[in-house]
Amino acid sequence: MAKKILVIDTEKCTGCRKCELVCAVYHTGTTDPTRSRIKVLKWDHVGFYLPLSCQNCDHASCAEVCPSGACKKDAVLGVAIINQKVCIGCKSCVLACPFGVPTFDHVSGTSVKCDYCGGDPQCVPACEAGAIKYIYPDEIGISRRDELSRKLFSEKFS
Amino acid sequence: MHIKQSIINGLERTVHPQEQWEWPIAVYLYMAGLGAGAFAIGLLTDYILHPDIPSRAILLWGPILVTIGAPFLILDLGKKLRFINASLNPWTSWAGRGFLILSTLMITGLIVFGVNLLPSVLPLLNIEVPSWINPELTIYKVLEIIALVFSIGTAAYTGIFLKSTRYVGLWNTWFLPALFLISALSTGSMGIIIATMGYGVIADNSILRELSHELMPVEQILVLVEAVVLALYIFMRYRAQGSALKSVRLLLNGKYRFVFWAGIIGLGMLLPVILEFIYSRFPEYPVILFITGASLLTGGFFLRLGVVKSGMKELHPLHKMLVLQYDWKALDKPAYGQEKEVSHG
Repeated sequence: MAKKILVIDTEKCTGCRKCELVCAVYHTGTTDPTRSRIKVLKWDHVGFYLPLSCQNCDHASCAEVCPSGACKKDAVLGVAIINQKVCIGCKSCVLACPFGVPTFDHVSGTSVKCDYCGGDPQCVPACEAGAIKYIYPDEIGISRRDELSRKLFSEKFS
Repeated sequence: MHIKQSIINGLERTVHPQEQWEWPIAVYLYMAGLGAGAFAIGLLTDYILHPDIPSRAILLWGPILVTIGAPFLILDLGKKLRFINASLNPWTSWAGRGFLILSTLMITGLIVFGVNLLPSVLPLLNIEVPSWINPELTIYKVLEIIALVFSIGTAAYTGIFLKSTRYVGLWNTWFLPALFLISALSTGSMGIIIATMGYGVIADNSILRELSHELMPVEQILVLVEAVVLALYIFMRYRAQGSALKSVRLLLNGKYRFVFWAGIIGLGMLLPVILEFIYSRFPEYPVILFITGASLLTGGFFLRLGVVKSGMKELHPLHKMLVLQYDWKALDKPAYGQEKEVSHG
């Protein structure tokens, strides 16, 4: 059965960076967004904001290049998770990920990445704009169609 | 096109070279390459020329450099004490495979070096040489062959290690392992030339001095091949576009132009060629050869440093899509200053 994934709607993201803050508090106990697992790239002059989180690759580059075997695909969540007790902090995964998801945490001395918070991503309820969703892959199309029909309906009868 | 260009330039956020791997990685790659190359050239010299030298240890010291260089990789780790974990995933990780390749070379190479060194050192300390410390024993001959294979493997691995990251354009080509292999052999051969000449001068041994002269044409050919492979590497990466092109620009006329032109080309290739020509006219001055060696070996380090520091990750796929999207939108808009006049009346 397909695993749930984090889906980002860039058109809804307002670039408020609340997801970064919530993520940092949940994982590190600090309000330091630089230690967050989710990162928001911002292009303010064109109004485009891109929250970056794990893309749940079938062949995860981060897991392939990890020399210690600390980064492995989790059988239950389907996302690659870095075991903080085994990671040696070589930063191979940081360079190998095409999406720039794993980052090096200078406080812990290890690489860290989005682990879907063990199946309950904290960024999802924190996102007031509803730009981040944690859904099954086949629900992506349904939810977009649903939103479109709601929009048309509200425009027609408002 | 003014609007389009300004939007695109705005979207092309300044892309910085990678900052994850710093100079310790360059030192690690350099020492591993130099040591492995020196061992391979030294052992092949012994097999092919059979020189009548005081000790084969003069030719087989390469694994010492590999052993000195390995801690620099550990220095770059976030968790240094967990370095042994680096060998836990050799199935898909080249860093893990490299740990095993280098460890094998260090162990076998140091044993081979030791059994060749001790028979000439122990008598000086009035210690009798045990019968099992004999480089002619079959077990040591087998270890020599294993170490030779792994030294070639180590020299090529230094390039494969960088290539395996895949999304750094400058590194993602098979020209890089080829370049590092050739560079390892050229710096290694120069290391052997310096060692034989140095020992020859100190011990006043003409056979060693002759041996260093015999190796010089080999080293010159290797430097020539290295120059050709470097040119091909730079050209192919320039044509690869994306981050590879940006990295090449960074090397040729950007932040690291001094590393490339003065370090890699000047010290690593041009100066050694000029100095070797001068030395061929004045062979009675071995100091010229030592300066040549220092110059070429420094150039070898700058090659690793330049390649490591100017590596740049590819743009995020969604970032690329965004640039493309605004590229299309911008094409539909009239250029700045050519908009139709709007009547306000």
